[in-house]
Amino acid sequence: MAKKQSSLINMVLTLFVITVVAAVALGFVYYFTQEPIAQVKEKKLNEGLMKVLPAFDHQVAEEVEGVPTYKAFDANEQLVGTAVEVVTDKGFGGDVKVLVGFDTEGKIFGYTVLEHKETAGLGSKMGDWFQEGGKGNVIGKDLSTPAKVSKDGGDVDAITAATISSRAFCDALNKAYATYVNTVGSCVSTDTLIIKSDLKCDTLTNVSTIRKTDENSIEVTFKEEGGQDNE
Amino acid sequence: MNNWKNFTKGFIKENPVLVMLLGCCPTLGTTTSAINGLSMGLATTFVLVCSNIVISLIKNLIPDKVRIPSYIVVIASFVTVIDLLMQAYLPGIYETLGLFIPLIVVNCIVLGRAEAFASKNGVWASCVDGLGMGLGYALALMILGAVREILGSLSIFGWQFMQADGILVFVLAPGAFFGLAYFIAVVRRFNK
Amino acid sequence: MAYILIIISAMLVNNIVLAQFLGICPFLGVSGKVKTAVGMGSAVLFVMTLATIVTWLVQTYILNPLGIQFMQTVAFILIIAALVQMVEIILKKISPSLYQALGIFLPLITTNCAILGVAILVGNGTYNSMGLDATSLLPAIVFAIGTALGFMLALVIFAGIREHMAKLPIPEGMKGVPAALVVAGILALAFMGFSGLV
Repeated sequence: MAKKQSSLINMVLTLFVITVVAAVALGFVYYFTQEPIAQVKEKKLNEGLMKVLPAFDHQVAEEVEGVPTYKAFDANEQLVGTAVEVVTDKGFGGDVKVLVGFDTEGKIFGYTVLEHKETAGLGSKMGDWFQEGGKGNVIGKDLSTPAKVSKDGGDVDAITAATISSRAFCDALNKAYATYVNTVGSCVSTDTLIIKSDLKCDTLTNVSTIRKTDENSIEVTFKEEGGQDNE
Repeated sequence: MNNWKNFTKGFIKENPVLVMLLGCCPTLGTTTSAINGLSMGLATTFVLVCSNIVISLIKNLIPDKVRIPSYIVVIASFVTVIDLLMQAYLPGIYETLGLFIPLIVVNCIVLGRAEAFASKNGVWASCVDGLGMGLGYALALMILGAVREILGSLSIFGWQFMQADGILVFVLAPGAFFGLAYFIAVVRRFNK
Repeated sequence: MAYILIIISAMLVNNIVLAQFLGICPFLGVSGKVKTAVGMGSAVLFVMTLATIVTWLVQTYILNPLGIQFMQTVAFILIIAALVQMVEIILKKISPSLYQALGIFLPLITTNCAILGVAILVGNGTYNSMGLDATSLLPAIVFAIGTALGFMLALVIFAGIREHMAKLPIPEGMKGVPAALVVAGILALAFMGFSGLV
């Protein structure tokens, strides 16, 4: 077959045809991969939640002041924990994204590092270092006193030779806790309730029912004392 | 040229990265471990084979002056295909390779083979050429990745063979440059 | 302030050549002399800024509203190729002296993965925008300029070292590219000192 001439019409036509064919073909591939891609994202989120929360039946996603949070419930609609996805820009190599799970008492149940650009072999150890059994274990920690590395007067053991990464991790934890505290006003558990009052956090136990009376207040009934608490 | 020679030339004699020094960016950027290097190499091979086949099929339909833009569209389309497929079925690897997947489109190897081989040869020969070059590239990336992984994190293909800290610098940016430098020097020695 | 941080981060901390491994080909290819390195760097600065603006407009006003983000790679590479051609033609007509300085580098830029890389990072809003809105235009332009300055900086330093290396006795097998790569590795080691700066 003879080579086509490089006339203007030929050139424009060829480029146009090739681009259209490519676009249509890609449209098809996109159409067929769209669903698996969405599934992968959902699966990843669920796997993350499973790691940081107690066993749960279903979760409700919600944005609290722009921060994604996930409330997990068991089969009886009881809240079992809340996970918060936070980003801190204090990392050594850039942003660090962490998913932190809190139990109903506001203690850290688990965490998983979703994204980071920390130095391989140093700051990158944060995925294991702060886990249960790791050297800087933070699981079960109550963050009403903010997490700080020991160098800054706190009680979190920093990763060896990666203090900045460890500080970023603590910052992520504290940010997650601040968001978590913001979510509790609306979350309902029949045992325990954490109430945020201005700056202080109180934990109430033996709660039997909680009823939302209007926009800003809830009524709390306790199991034994039968007292009432309005906020 | 017979097909066997055509296939094997990409491994040592005309290895795209080690001898012709094409596609250095992903070579340095993705070889932090053997598996990453291998995946990047195989993704490139896919694009190389597909674009070589298509370009050798349509080479006579394209006017000379818009040759390069047309090739680029073909290559970019296959890059998008592998990008979407990896996102759907290999999400873990897709995340580690990140930006380097769409950047296959500017990998000089792909456009280089299209221009130097596929635009002058038949379909079958172009396919074999793409496969040989691609696998040669993948092999080089895998070996470099393996060396960096062994020295840097004391593991191979993700299997930790020693519980200790490796020579960290090899998985960091400078290690990529050092690794490739000595790799090229060694291959030069054997090619003499 | 945040804009200054974006420039420092893109130029020094996450240097596109020495930390991100983009644009290695021109880095190894043309950096034999400081003068050519400055020329190449300026050409990249010019095209990268222009390409970022155009691809940002295409991403925001065409790809996103139509929901065809998957056409990103195809669209961007065509835009960059066309842009480089246009710049070449316009420069030839308007400023022959500038064309003479930058002209020979322009064709090389189409396949410079740094340009496409920055365009994709900006298009997806995944670059380090220091708390500013990554999807708006101004931080994107600042990021592109910072990245290009980083490219130029690495190129000029590298060229300066290579000018002196010509006089050194280097083992046969290491001559040329391997020796250049070792130098690049040492430079990358030096640039690692910037990490944690912002």
